[in-house]
Amino acid sequence: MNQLSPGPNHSSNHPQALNLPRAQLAPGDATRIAIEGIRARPLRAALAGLGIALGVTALVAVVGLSESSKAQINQELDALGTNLLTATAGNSFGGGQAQLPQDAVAMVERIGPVQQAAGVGNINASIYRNDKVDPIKSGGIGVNAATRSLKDTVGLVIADGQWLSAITEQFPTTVLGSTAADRLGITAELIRSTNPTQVWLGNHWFTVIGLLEPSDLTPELDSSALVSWPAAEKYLSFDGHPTTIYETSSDTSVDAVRNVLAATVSPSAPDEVQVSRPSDALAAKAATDAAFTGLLLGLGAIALLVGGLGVANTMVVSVLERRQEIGLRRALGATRRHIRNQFLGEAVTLSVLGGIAGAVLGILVTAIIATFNGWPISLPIWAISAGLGVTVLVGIVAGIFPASRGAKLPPTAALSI
Amino acid sequence: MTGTNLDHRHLVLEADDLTRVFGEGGTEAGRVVALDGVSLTIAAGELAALVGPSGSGKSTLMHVFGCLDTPTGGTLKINGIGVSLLDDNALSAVRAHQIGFVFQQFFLNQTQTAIENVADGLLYTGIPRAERTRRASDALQRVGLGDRLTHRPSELSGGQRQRVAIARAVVGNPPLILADEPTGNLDSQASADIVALLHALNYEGTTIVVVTHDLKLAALFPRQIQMRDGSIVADVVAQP
Repeated sequence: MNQLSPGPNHSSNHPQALNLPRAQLAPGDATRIAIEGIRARPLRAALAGLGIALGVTALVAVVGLSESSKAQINQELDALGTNLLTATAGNSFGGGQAQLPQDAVAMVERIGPVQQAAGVGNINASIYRNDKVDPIKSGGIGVNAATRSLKDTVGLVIADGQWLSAITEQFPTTVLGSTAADRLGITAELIRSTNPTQVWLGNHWFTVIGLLEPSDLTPELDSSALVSWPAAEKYLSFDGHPTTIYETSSDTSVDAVRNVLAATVSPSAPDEVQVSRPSDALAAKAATDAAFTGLLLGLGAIALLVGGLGVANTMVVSVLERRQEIGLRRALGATRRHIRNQFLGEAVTLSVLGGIAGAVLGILVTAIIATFNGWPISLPIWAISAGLGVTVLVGIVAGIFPASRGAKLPPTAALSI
Repeated sequence: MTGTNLDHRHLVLEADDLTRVFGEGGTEAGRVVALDGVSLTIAAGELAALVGPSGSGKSTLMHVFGCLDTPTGGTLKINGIGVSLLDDNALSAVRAHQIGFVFQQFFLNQTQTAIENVADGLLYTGIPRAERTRRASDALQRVGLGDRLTHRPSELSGGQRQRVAIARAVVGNPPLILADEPTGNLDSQASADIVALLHALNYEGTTIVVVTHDLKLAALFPRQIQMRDGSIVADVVAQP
């Protein structure tokens, strides 16, 4: 055949085939070029990175605050304990408030793992600051008979004065929940004064001997006036039937106790007994926060998307402006891949710098708000690394189109003005 | 007299019947023949001017010689490498190692110093950075800017800027230097200095092709290749 014909034998014409050196760019040089490209236009870089920074700030802060408030609730739960169960008389089969048997508290105390048990019985009476108050203005304060064991079982804390004792329970005395005391206008000063403070309760004068701190686990007691069991029977014609039983056991036996509690409290009508764990309500609060967190995370993601568009826009402008630089680099031997990677590198660097700024801001926001609310600061490392990982992705997605455009520019077109 | 008397020397550029047609495949009206069968050789150590009026095809020819553009027909060898059929990556490699460019607008990076700009002439060759910087320093000495290594382009005169650009082109000692209107943006004194520098570099053995529209400038170089309408109309070698 004709040896002179310039057949399409690419391999023999390829520099590699002729043992000629390739065009190449060391990774270190590529990184330096990307950073230089950003440093040459600092204001534009800052503005483009700002969107990313805000997005990451939102993501990190939302996770941080959610985790910190969860940590706070968990701390509260640890302090309060999750071993308190309540058994409440529900509605009877025929309608109306069901009653628990008079010996229900004693029965519960006999369950093996139960450590403490107490009963509270609703009394059909009203409490007033004095006997001149219009009976209609009862103030919504419930009057309850309480066994002496209630304070320790539930973990009530006396703010002022004292709890019901073996002696005081023989007399018309009452201990007020924090809300009840507020509504009646009974202050700590009145309790501490030498003159006994009296209230008009069920047509009898009762002496207030103590005030309670607000209770996280049993908020229903905050708005009630507690009267001792014997005094309630003696002065208020209380029938001795409890309406709610409180009990605590060891943490490990809570479920076992829960299974037998209704039947123990009311063997004849266990279906009418509602058993609940007050700490569940607190735990549910953490779960409610999670739904809100999801919403905020969504907003953070949108901010990040907008930030990504900002980076993409900046890179498009950058490629248009730097046609000559692209042309020069091609003349110096840069391949299309080198040009693409340069602009892609710039986009990713821009995005990651914004991400780092955002992570720092997010940590600060979390620390400030958590400290302000008295929460422990809890920021999982996965949130920060996920935030930064996402910025790399955003940088690549935002940079790939403008970078490819720059790479496809023919060298002659890039060099012409 | 033609340049064939130099053919016994190593040829850094061999063009045979090069054509470059723009808009091929389109309508006849949109078809532009920029190069219409150009055959030419440049031997090592030559200093030649490629001269022609605007639209003569000299810029297209320079782009093809510089492997910035590919011919639609004919063959081209740069330093013995057949480049007509090479792909884009391979052409980049040829530019990185075989060709140095000088442009009318200098194309210097304003944020970099003179030595950094010159070192970038070796950026895509795989030579380590320290070595690039060392060679850049040597190249700046060669163009007479040994005392301006850390100056930025804004701190240099036009002539000095073009010297930096020339240093960047020669830093890798490529077989071929292509200079596109190297004095186009300079006053007459600076132009004369640049011409003298090109002569000095050529005297040291560098092969240089200057592309210009200026006949008076071209007359300052030993060989003048004149173009018109995509063809070479004269190839004159001055008597020494």
